[in-house]
Amino acid sequence: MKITESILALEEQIKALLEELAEIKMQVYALEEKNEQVLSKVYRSSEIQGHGNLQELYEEGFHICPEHFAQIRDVSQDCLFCLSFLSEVRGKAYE
Amino acid sequence: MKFSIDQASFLEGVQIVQRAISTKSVLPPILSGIYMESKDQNIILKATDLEIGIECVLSANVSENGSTVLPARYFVELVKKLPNIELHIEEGDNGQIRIGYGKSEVMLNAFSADEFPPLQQFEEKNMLSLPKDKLIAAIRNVSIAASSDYTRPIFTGILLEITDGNLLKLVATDTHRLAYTEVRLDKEPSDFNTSIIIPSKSLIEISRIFNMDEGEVTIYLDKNKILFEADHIKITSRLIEGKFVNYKQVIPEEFTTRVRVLRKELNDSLERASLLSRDDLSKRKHNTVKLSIQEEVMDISSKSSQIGELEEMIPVFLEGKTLDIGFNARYLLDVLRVIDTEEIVIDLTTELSPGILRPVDGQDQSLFLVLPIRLS
Repeated sequence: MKITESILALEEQIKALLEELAEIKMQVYALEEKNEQVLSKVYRSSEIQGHGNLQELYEEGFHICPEHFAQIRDVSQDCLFCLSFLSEVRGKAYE
Repeated sequence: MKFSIDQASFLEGVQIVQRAISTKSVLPPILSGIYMESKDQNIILKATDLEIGIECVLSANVSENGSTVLPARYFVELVKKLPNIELHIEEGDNGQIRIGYGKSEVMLNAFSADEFPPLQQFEEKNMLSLPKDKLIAAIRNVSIAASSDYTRPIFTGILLEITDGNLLKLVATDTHRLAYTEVRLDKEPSDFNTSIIIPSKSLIEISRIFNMDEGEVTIYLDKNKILFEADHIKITSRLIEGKFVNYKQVIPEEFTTRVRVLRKELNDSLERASLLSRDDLSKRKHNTVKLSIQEEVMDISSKSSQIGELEEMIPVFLEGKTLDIGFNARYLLDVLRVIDTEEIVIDLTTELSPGILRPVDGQDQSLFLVLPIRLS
């Protein structure tokens, strides 16, 4: 008799534990989703900042295209490859 | 060495090879000379500056085989001034070369031919024949956009791509403009594929030296050199090492303004406008002209604080939005000079995005990308 009671008590505990686990799972899922949102916000803001820095570097008279990065450019004329690179970075940052 | 040849054909030969002579003083003195060899009823003339090498074979009446190197500067000028009669050329005493014409003669000091560097040999396995006229037209199209800034060597070259042995693409850019030409060759597909960068200077010489007729030019490729052969002339050039920029990424795929305009009308108008767009006071290097594209007209204007102002209107056919945009007139004129169709199309997006000029109904596919000049 004692054994049967013990099994029932264990069953109750397991049931309670499973319920608690299901609740924890839901919480984890919600937290993971929130974390992804926060991370993507942080990443986007750093890309926007990166784009701003690149734009500034370009306006100051330096190439920002991968081919000639940081080399001095002729400020009286734009560079096809820098503009294309800037527009690519801007596109990614504001996607 | 002893041979006779008529002055006109000899002059033509020496003037062709003279194009490879460099004025750079850093090169060994032997390279300031033209190599000349008489062999089996032929005269072989050669010159090189180690970047480009030119060899030309002429028919002559050869009595003795031999070779020499003559200083190009005096030799070419002299041959140019000789009478158009038979010339008798032979080795004289003290290593001099005697050129006899009529009852007169001239003796020229010469270098030893042994010091002259041999032009590179090429294997026949990497060879392809192309129509000369198509290659020359393609070179003329794209060479306008090649850079002359030797601190960035890649841009001083022209990308030559051959795909499946029957699609030739040439691309050049100085980062402010880009020219692209694609020529479909009338050949069966083969496994000949290549992508190399050739100094624009070498390709421009090729387009000037070879006759633009229906003949073929054979190209031979090596690891770091290329040989073009046609019309009894061989031209070798070193290749530029490195990877060409990803040019496809800068060609816009979309546009919001498309203008169709008569090429000659735009060209004439821009030529006039460019006269008044050089502002020496501001030390600006480019001839900025403003194009105001409206429904049925394009308003072309330019001004110089020293000279005055100009405004012209030419009829256009517009699809899309109206736009005000500034361009370097010289860049546009360079493009209009190499396009030979009656009409051209200009595709634009914003006043800061590159404009694309294309011939309308051209035989081959060409496009010219030009970055605008900021008007403000």
